[in-house]
Amino acid sequence: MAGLVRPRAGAIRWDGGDLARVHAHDIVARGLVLVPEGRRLFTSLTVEENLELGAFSPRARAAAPESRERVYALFPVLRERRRQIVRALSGGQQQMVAVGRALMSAPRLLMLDEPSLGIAPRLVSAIFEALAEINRGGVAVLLVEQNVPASLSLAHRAYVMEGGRIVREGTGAALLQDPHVRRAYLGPLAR
Amino acid sequence: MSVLAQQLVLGLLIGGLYGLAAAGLGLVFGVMKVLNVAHGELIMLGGYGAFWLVTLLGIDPFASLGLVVPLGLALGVILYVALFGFVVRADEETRVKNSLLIGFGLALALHATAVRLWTADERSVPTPWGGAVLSVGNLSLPVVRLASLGVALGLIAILHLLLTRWRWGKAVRAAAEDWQAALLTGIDVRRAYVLAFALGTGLAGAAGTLVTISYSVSPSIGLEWSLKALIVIVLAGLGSTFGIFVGGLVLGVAEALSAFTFGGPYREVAGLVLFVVILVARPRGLFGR
Amino acid sequence: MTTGHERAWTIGILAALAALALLPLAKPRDDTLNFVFVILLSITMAQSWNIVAGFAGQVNLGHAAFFGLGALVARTLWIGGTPIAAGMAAGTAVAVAFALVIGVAAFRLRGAYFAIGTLALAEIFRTTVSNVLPEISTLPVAAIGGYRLTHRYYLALGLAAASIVVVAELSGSRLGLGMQAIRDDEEAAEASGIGAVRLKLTALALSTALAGLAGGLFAYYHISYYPAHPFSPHWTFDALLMTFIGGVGTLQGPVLGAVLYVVLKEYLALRWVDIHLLIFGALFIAIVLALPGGLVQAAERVRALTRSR
Repeated sequence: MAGLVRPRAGAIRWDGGDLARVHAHDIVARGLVLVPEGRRLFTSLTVEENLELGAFSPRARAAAPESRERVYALFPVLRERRRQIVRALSGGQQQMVAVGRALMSAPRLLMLDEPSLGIAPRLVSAIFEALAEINRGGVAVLLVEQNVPASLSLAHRAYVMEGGRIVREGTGAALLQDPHVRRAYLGPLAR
Repeated sequence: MSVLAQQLVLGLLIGGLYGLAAAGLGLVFGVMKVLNVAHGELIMLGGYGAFWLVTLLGIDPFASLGLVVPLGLALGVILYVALFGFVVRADEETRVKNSLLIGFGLALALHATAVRLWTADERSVPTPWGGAVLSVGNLSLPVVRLASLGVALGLIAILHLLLTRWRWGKAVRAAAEDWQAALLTGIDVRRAYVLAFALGTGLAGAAGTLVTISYSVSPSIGLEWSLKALIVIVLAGLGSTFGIFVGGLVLGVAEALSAFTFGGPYREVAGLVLFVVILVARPRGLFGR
Repeated sequence: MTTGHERAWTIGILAALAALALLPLAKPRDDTLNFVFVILLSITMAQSWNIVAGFAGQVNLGHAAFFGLGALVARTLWIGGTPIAAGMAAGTAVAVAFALVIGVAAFRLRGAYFAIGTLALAEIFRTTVSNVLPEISTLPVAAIGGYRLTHRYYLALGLAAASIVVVAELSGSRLGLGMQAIRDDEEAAEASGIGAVRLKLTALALSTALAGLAGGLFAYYHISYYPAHPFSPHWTFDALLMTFIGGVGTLQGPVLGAVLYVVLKEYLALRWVDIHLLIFGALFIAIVLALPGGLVQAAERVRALTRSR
């Protein structure tokens, strides 16, 4: 959906248009922003610079000052460390920068690919709370996650994929109770 | 002792031009992993451009920079769109290899064209200052070369500012580090690449102008300057713009030392040996990351 | 590319060379013999370069250094009284020895770095020789009196044929297949137990042996030249161009490229001295971008098109 890989068939409909042929950077301009797996930050640049680059597209640039305030409000530690080179930050803090950078792009749909990977549990919940806050602010959030409990407790709608196919869908709360889900992800003794 | 000092100073003066020559090549290689070995030929073209502008329009040689650099920028855009833009579609290792080959073909074509258009003779450009020399103690500093060093340093400083303060300069650095992440941030990486290549060619044109002003130009300086630029890049690594400039100074001084110790003809050998040794022992270079 | 196809080409080219052996019997003018000599020398240079590039997959930009070493040693010994055959053999031995020493260090570099590293090494050789031996090397009068062009001609023929046979043998052999495996994917080849370094060194040894012999031939052929001249990078670049444009990695590619190159150079030199370089430069770019297999690949595509009618 982010445009790095082109679909072989089918269409991606957004806002009345098909995204399948649109360039990746234009997709960002249209409001779909991806926080990729592994964060993919510009590690040789500072936190500030990474955030600033997030607001590259014209629409995002116009909203940049407010976006930045919102990011610092969500992740206060970034305001303290804004002049630091990203490489010097911890994994969890880097993930905050990654989410922050995506927010700077003024997304209407924020997509995240495995944001909890390699991050201390305490920070994971902080980030997930931030995602809930972002969503309350009017941004749709598409989360791809292996951390089932955390993500299902957050999600309004959830889809379970196995082997590339959607095998279950429903509200987050309902799926948390679903026996198939519980057994597959929470262990054979779960009931 | 003062002979050595004089040689070292002259080495520094040309070293600045080596640094400028390398900066353009290094920018392009660092950003998109394209090794344009025709860079020396672009320097040569810049030199001829300056020569013709001065000869035809009678302007001051240093002022010709004001025309050569924009022309170089434009040429860079054309070369990227027509040629090197196709190379970046492949992965990194293929990019380097293909750009090496394409640069080679381009160098050949440009060299043959230059010989046809302007003959193989050396050309140089007279400046109002002529052979004026600044005397500092026992040392004589040719004013023209001193001015060239100053201009080279100034251009490097401008490049540094562009890359660190300008929105698109930062975009270029972002694309250099991770082009996919750059795309995801909304940066049009293709445009960033065009910009980087244009800047690289513009710098080459500037370097060529300064070379013509301080020394001379002929079609054969292409290969020589491509090698110098490569040596400096390997010496200094790609992390820092000023680092590359310093690398150029180091090469200039190393050459002077070698000429002083082993005799004039061995000037070149120092740089080449240094090159091979660093290539094998520390490929990242002195300042590289 | 089937081995049968290549065998056909091998036989064809060798037959053409055999026919050329009869040329001196027709008592042609000296410039005709010289022209064919240049083609034969070019074939040898291109084919020898092809061994490292086409089989081991490395772009060796230092090829001229071995050509030059072969020439230097052979010339020095020959003028000193040694028979040319021994001189050429010694030249080749020196070239291969240097190649192996350099190769061990150079092959630690990958891809483009190997290319520019070997170029720098060759330039070191050239600069040193040009400083140590700046004067032109001329044959003593007695030798000039006894100069027979036909001897050089046959030597060139033999060398060209040898280079073709070497490449033909490599093509089908285990050695050659191992080299091609490295060319295609060095890590995978290593993982399958193919000793990459040893194979690359073997390719380099074969390549530089032929180049060294060609250098000896050059020393035997020219009455006077600057000792640094055969070290000039243009010998490498010419071989590279001929091989790529003909079709790197194929048997007939370098031969076709060499013939085309020399013919174009000879017949276009009238109007514009280096126009053959401009044309070849442009062709080369086109080939790198669109047709990596060179003219051989182009011919195959044409053949496939006409066959499918």
